[in-house]
Amino acid sequence: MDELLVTWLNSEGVYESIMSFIEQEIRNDSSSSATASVLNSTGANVISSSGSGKAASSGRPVGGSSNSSVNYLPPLSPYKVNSSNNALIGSNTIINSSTDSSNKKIITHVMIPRNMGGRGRGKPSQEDVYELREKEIVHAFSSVRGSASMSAGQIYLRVEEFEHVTKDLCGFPTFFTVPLYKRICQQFGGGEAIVTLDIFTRFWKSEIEPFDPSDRFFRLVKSPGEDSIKKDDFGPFIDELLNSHPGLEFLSNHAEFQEKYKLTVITRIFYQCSTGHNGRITGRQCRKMNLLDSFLFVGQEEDINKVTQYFSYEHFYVLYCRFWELDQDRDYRITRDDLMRYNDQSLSRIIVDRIFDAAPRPFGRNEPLTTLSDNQKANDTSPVGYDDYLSYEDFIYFMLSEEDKSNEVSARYWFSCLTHGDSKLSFMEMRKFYSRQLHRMQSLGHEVVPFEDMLCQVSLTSYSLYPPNSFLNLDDTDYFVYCLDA
Amino acid sequence: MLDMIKPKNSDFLIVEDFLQSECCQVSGSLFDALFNLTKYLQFEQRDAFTERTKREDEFDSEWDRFACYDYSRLAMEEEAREEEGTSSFLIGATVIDFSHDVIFSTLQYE
Repeated sequence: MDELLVTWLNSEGVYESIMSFIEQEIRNDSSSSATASVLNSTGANVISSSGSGKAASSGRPVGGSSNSSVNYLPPLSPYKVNSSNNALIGSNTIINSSTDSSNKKIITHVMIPRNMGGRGRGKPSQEDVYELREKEIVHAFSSVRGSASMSAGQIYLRVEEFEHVTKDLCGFPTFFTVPLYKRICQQFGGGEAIVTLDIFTRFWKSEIEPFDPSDRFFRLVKSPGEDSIKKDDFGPFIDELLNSHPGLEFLSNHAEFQEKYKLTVITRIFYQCSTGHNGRITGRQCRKMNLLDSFLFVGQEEDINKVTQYFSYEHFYVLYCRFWELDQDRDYRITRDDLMRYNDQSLSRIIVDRIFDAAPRPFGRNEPLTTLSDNQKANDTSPVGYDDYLSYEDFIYFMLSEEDKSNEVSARYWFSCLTHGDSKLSFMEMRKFYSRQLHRMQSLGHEVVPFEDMLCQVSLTSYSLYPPNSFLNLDDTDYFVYCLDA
Repeated sequence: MLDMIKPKNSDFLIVEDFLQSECCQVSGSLFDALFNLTKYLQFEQRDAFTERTKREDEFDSEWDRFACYDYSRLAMEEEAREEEGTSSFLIGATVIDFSHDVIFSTLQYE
């Protein structure tokens, strides 16, 4: 261990850079605490007594609408708030986010029984039958301004009094209050702009009682009459999250980045859930991905960066900055040449072309460019086609797949690229891709690894677990020789 | 690698071959080998220590790990720029990669 450390310290430039980092840290107290908080993002809590003040100072003026010709980056995430204050809202919920070896955060929601029946549709909860909850519902409405003599059509709640109903009765995240209230008015109010007990009862019997929590969520988010959630349907909910989440407060003066954050979150949700890549999320996909749980979690967790699924501001920052790095002409589009520069030219030309021609795009193919002026169009003999750029949303799909190849969505993404939409990846096709790599290895002066060796080399990691397969068309002796040589 | 993937057919791979839970890491390395030279070379030069550190860290996914390191890199750059009083335009890619490596190494050897 010590030897390793010494070797590392002695390697070129490392010592100097460490020293310069240390000096930099000492020079700037605030930057050091920021770095620490970043490095310990899910561990230690950096206690910052002036958390909000610092947040304000870190949220410096960036690209406002008055200054649209200059493109700036979004503000950094503010300093971590002391998360021991993270009293979970309400006593009926427990969040159990395990950071041990288990792969997924486990979010247990006690209030809302989960119906993971395994089949297409969950069963409605028996305890949410109207008659069983009637007392609670009536109490929630009449405790505010009701009296015994009033009828159900007269007792009402204003939107600002509705939070308790959203959270405790309907089981939605608190930040759903406004969109939920609006939806009830719109669908059951018959022109009324307030929700009376009468209206709410109708809503309950039609949208809550017959469905399980996941379906209630799905039906609330999608537009009435549609059979799936579309891109814009999440908008009002993310807007409310931006308005109410303490971890996103610092964005309140940056409408431009609020929009970008919203777009990023929505695209990430579609990346995970919309497996058909058709810009739609079905009720079944909602349930499979526990989308409601993710929304409940972000509604309760004060540190937005702990919500690594979809909502983390840091993740948004990384995606957006990487896009910004590549989009040098600031037209909010990435060309093939731009993408070639990704991560220091790490991708081969052939895959970049495939990403443009064959990779899944979140919301379908882009429209052909329409921003060219008529003049430009007249002069341009080879207009840029719809395949010749990636939008920010397309780029998010690419980057999520590129930086994490160990999940199903990503494997499907790359498989589509490699096969150009075909369902089979042939040995020959793989050789074709690898030959470009060989060429680059050669020109960069690296030792060249032949195709067969490459295959063996990677399989060595768990060779002992799996016997060789005839796929390589090598007999076992050859296989062993390769493995021993590698 | 392919013996891990255990293809159903010996002439070609289908997407389901990549989706078996036990081979997701391997299929990732195969993808890198086919089109991402930087990552493939990193894979070639990996060592047991780095692998163990990776296995034992706090991240739930490759993406979470990447995003955390990359955010630290971007945040340090941004703060360095603020100190210099320059506007927040990005600086050269060399500097970026350099600091990224340092963060990486620091974390690995801590």
